Amino acid sequence: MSANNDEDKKPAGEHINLKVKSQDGNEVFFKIKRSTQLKKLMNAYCDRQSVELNSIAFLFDGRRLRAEQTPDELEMEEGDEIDAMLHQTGGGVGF
Amino acid sequence: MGALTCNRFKRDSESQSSPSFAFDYTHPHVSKKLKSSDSCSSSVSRLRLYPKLVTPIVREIQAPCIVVKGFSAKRLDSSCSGNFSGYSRVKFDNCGDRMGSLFSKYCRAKESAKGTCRYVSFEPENEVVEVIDVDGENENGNDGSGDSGVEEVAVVETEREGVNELQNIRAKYRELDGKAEGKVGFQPSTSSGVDSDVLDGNALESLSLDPRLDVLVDVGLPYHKKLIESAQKRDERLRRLSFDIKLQEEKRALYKQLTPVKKDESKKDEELLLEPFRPLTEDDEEMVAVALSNSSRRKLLVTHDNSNIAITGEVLRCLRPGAWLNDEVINLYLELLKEREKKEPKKFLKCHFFNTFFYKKLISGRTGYDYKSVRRWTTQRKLGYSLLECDKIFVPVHKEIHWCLAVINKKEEKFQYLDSLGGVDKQVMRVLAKYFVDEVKDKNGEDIDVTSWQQEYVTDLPNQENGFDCGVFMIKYADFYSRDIGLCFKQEHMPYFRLRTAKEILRLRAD
Repeated sequence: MSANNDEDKKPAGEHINLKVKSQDGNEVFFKIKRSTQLKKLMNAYCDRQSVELNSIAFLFDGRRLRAEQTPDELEMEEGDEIDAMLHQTGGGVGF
Repeated sequence: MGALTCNRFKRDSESQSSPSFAFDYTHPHVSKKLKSSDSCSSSVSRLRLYPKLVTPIVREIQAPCIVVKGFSAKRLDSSCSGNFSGYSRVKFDNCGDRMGSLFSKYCRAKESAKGTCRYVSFEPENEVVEVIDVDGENENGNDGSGDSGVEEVAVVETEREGVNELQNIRAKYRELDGKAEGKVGFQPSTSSGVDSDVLDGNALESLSLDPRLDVLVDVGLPYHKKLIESAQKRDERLRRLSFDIKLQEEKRALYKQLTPVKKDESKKDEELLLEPFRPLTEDDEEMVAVALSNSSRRKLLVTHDNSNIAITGEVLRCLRPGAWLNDEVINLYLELLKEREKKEPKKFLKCHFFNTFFYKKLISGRTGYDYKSVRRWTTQRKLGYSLLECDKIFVPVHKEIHWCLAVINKKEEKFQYLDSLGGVDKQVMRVLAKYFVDEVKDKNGEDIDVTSWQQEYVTDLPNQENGFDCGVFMIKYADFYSRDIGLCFKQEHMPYFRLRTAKEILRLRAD
């Protein structure tokens, strides 16, 4: 299920390859400008996966990502992994 | 001899002033009386040693039952038994008009006898009956029987008193007499039967009426000796009392010394236990009500910068009664718990709170265990501490539609699993044990052995009694555990906890 993003190819250093991994193990690769807000990546992922943006929590090293953050801001490195987790809810079972 | 005359005179006036009753009363001891006056003459010089105390001797012998009072009065209070109150009252009334100055003494003797009335049963039955009959007759004005009633009581009393006090008195007397003898060179006093028994059995054979009377007389010690004795008794009692007082004062001082400290401690404890249940202020309640209302649904209520969690009205609505908790509220709350601990590290255990995605991530992958996927979650740079330093590591476990809590309890070296519905999950234990070993090895370069750690499925915990509160239970397990207090809450607290959690999220501060 891995696929390269259709982002414009730009000189290395400006761009960064990021992996988005779903909780069932599927990975999607994105190339994104270091200064680009991750909103773009998130939207692209949700579009691709046909899920609502607000049903997914994006985590980087366990911490939630905000749409306004950029790879630079987060000091992301080439090949870093972003987790796309489904929001959870629960109340109990057996009733 | 002057002392003796004076003595006699006094006795006469005494018997004159007291009604004939008094004479009858002493009737059985006439011979003794005679004897004692005889003995008086023989021991005059000895008595000179205590000239002022001579007088009472005769008086004592005249009314033996009074003698009893001297020793029994003290024990009155304790020995009085309610069963005989009626009995004593009858006596009391009868005596009242007749006995004048003897009245109070008589009553005291009565009361003391009352205390020992159980001994009456050992007496011949007719004697006991006599006592009771006497009261009735007394009411009719029969002096004689009234006297015998008194007599009876006195005897009963003396017997007991005799048993109790005899040894003391004898010893005392011997001592006193020995002193007198040594100094004056006279024969020991024969003022009482006991004396003669003890010191010279033959001297007063004429006195030996019956053993009972002996005892009576025995108790009828000269007044001065009795006074000394009672004074000494009081001394002893005073000494005991003063010691008691001292003891009590010391105790009090000790308690006072302890109290402030104790108060502080208990206050702290109380506060520690009250804090998790502190009611919301009116302002807070209003704020929460607005935030949970329909009008706030689309509003962004609060954003937590560190965790980047944004809470909208829609998300917060999971804290309304009956709603299922979502990950965002739980994760933000756990962030707040961590911040709380950072603010007051002394008040809370050092903890790490994983978010609700950690466990899911950890068990992802084909093998059901993927340390690599969470390896970077806990770097020193990100956390500022390593997990090895933590007392407790909380791991929320999401199971499809249920929330549970797992704890890596380093403090007590055990893995714990808390399910508000009482569930058990072996995989959680296994995975967390493995994770902790890997984590410590990766971050601290240490090999830690957790095989000896206990795996505890906590069963003694507040249980969920509905199908929607498990999330609240779960975060409260974490809350209370990080306070290092017991899980002292119940299902009934859940509505409050929901409001409190909403308030704490809106204020971005857990208390």
